[in-house]
Amino acid sequence: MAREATAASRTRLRDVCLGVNRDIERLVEYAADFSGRRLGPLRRLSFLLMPPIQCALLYRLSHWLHSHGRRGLACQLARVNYVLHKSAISPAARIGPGLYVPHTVGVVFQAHAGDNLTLYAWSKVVPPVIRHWDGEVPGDAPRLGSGVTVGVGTVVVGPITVPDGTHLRACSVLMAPAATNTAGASLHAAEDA
Amino acid sequence: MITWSETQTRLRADRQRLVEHLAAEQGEPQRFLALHPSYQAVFFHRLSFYFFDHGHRLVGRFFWHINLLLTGCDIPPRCDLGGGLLLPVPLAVTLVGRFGRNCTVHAHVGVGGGSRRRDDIGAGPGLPVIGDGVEIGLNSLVVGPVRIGDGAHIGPGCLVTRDVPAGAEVVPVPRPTSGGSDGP
Repeated sequence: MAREATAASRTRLRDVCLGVNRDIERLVEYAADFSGRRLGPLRRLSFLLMPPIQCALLYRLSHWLHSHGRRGLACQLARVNYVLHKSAISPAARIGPGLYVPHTVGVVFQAHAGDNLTLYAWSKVVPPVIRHWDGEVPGDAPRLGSGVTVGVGTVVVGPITVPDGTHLRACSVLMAPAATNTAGASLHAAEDA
Repeated sequence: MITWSETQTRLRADRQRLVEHLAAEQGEPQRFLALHPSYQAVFFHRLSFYFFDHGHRLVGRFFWHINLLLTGCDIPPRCDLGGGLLLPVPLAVTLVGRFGRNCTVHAHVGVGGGSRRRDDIGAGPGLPVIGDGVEIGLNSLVVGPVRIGDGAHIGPGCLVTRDVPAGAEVVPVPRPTSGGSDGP
């Protein structure tokens, strides 16, 4: 088992809790659009049973394990996430607090992102060649800023830096020039993952 | 608020449409319909919608999650789907909005709200309203507060962001292909 995680790169458990709390807050913001009222603390806790929050929670726990060198366990947790929610979020990926995945089906994420990331169904943010979950995110993976929204079915491949607040519309394809020749292979790899 | 008898009526219509679909496809009626993923996806959503509508939100979410786990079909409990819904292959189907009766939704279809337009046309902020007898083809998307008229047919691979009149047929825009080996 690889245990080369340095103290600087380790995620603290407190950060996991803060991240999940912010994830719930974002879901509450969207839910308030429908209910038209603010939600109390007990109702907020009940959001832990919803698939979008469970998906984010499992990712944050797997990332915490991964950053502490427990890569095998992190992979198993990511696999549980895959089976339960049909989404493949790499434990090595770094995502800031406020992750919102309204529909978890078909999401493939192997990159880094800032705060308040929104991933819609079937969005794929991946390097040209997708690695196995137990490794690190490669250097040619996309880097998303804060407040980025990745629309339904959108594909982001290669070493691309997406600025803060960018809204990628549904079914758009963002591909780095260097990744053009390998995009087909990487997408097939995403389906196989 | 939906009643239990209305839920049963919708389930009967769902079962009838699935039986007809399977009989036309396989030539003989399916015996164990309860084990068929198409029926399971609709059945669990009906339960989820019924309980959620009656204030048992936790139970509603439980059936939503079971549906996602067993069939890979993501239909939130708030989504109101008319009777006679047919999901031939429920894999990766995401439906949010209001559907009429006798709709057909194929695999990898997404119907839901966009994140920019939030106006309410009857299904919730930013969500679409689908009419009766609409068929949505494989890998198609209906995004935002749009109305799909009765009997409309949306072909495979379409991205619909505008209203579709009743009886219309939507076909995908052909994309340019890179054919040669020396292409980009």
